Amino acid sequence: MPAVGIPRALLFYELFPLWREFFTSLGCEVITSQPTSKETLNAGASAAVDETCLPIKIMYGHILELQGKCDFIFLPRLVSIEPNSYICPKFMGLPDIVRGLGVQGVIEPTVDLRNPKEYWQRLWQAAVEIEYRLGIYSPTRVASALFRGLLAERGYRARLHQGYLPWEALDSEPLPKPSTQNQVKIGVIGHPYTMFDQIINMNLFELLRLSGYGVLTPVNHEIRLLNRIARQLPKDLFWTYGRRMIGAARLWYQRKLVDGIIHIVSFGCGTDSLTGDLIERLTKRESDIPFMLLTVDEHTGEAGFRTRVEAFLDMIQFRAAGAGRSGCQ
Amino acid sequence: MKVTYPHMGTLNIVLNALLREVDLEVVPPPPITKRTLELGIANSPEFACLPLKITLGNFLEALERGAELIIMAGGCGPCRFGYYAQVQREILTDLGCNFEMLVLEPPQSGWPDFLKQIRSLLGGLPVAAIRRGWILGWQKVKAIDWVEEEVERTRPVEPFSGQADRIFRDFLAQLDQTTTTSGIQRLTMATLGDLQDLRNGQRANLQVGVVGEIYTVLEPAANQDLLRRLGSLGVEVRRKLRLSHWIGEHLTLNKKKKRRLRLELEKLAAPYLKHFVGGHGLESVGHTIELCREGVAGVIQIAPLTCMPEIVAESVLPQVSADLSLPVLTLFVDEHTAEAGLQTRLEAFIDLLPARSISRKSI
Ligand code: SF4
Ligand code: SF4
Repeated sequence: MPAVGIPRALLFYELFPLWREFFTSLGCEVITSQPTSKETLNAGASAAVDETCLPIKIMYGHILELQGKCDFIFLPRLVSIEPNSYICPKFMGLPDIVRGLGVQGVIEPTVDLRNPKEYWQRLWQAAVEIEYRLGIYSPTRVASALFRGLLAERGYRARLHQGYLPWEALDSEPLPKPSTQNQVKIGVIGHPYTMFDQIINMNLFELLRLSGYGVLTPVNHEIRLLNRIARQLPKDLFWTYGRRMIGAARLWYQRKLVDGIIHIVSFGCGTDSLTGDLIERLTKRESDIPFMLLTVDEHTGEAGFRTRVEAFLDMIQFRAAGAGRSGCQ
Repeated sequence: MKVTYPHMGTLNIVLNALLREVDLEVVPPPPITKRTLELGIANSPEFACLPLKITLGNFLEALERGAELIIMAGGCGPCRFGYYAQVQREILTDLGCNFEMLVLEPPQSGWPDFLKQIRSLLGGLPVAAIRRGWILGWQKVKAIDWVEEEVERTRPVEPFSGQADRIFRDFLAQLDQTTTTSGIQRLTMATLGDLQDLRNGQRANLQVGVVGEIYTVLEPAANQDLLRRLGSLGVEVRRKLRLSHWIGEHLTLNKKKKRRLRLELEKLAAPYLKHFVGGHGLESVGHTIELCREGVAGVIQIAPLTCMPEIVAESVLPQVSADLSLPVLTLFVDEHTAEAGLQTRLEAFIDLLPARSISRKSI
């Protein structure tokens, strides 16, 4: 039973349920790296080029952690995971940039679902590529593993849509989540690997929940809905997560679903430098919901981060209280 | 309607030719100065890549001079360039500028759309004029690239510094005014003659390749005059990225030739980078290998800070460098890049280079 290592980085919180089910259906043991720690980050940062962004450095750290602990490491070349979009140029060269580490047994299928007409064909090819790499040559097993993987992903998405956060939804029967009625709600946007990584987000979600706020993120909404709203822009955005972020922000402020929006950005992120600016502009132009951009890099201290978040939350509380009073009079 | 466009090296000469031929009134953005940069930087997102900031500065200055319509290229990803125009439009709108913007999406994403855009700009489809403008523009591109290559050979061996550049500047000024094919040819031959006289059959004994993101390679204001600096350090610059490369890639209709070139590039880069990554990331890797085979002593990669495709290329270039024993220097530039620092790094890099045998075929 070969052990397949899946790094807890990049699209882990998007696609892990699919991958886990896929590999276990094929009779593999699935190993993941530990949640990101300072050590992961430091190891990654010294292996990566200086100029790259935080999530890529963290990815290096996870790969280094898995190295030697499993027979294979799964690091697909994710060109595109939905029609007419890319994720980021850096995802298109993933297996190439880690080659310098000398890691053995990397499974690196190319996933390119850009063209809606070839969607299933490409997905199938990627699955077959993995099987060959594992030394399995059975179309029926491929098909059933892929099917079960996709089914697992659906279940995961359904739990996310109920309002769970990714790490809760990974569990197929999560604990009942606290009621969020009558709470002040904060919407958090960012790339999934930025906002859900505990080193990058400095435990933001815990902070929010413990202080009694409800939290919404783009993963809590139907992707189709977000994309539809994002397509109202003059030109459709060609980055999967940029599109979802813009869709979520507009959905929230158009329907007044949140009382404030926090955008977490990794220092050096290329795509967010444009989409972030656009989201901020549109939010300020089309609504009066407070918006805060939080840029995080390896040197950001938790204290400073918390102070900024708390100041933002105080402002929202203040506004909420003010609005309540003027309504009563 | 007065139209304007962004600067990128000598692109303005080509666009002037094309736009004048179809009878549009052109208000070119003034040459890039410190003020252009300051305007662009002050109004752009902080972490946007440098070309967005500089071209935004171009637009602001052109609008000041009375331009009403901005023509900008689009794109369909994966890198940021394809969304530049959208962001710039929002910025200019928020600044309260009065303008219209025409974004030319590449014809690959649909010919009918492309033609519709042209029609809306010109109020018709004057095929003959477009054809004339296209031919004239393309000939100018070729002429510039040809002359510039010779300038790059001459710079390191010219008797007095600045001579080759003076000839080049005069050439560009005259070329901008030329409106006939034969005129372009005469001018080009004359200029090449002058340069060859100046060079007097000599070649520099150090050749260095330049690869990277195209805007920073072509635009002296973005690369701190890298190419000229190298020339005055006695280095002959070799590069594959030229204006004709960019135009050919975006607009050429010869699909077969394009595919062939693409395949060659992919094959070269494959041991290190197996997929295109947007921008010119794959080119940076492929060209490094190609230039090494042509005998350069080292390669300089230049790109704007945070440029995603070039960061991918940078991440694999150490392997290339080790396998070919070819020194590679990566330079990331942004608005904070200091001239002195750049000069020092260049000098240090060049001092390290072994003199290599040069293939003399191309003399
Ligand atoms: S989208 Fe941004 S954070 Fe993600 S890999 Fe690309 S540059 Fe890095
Ligand atoms: S190639 Fe680099 S500099 Fe050019 S738009 Fe893309 S990310 Fe920006």
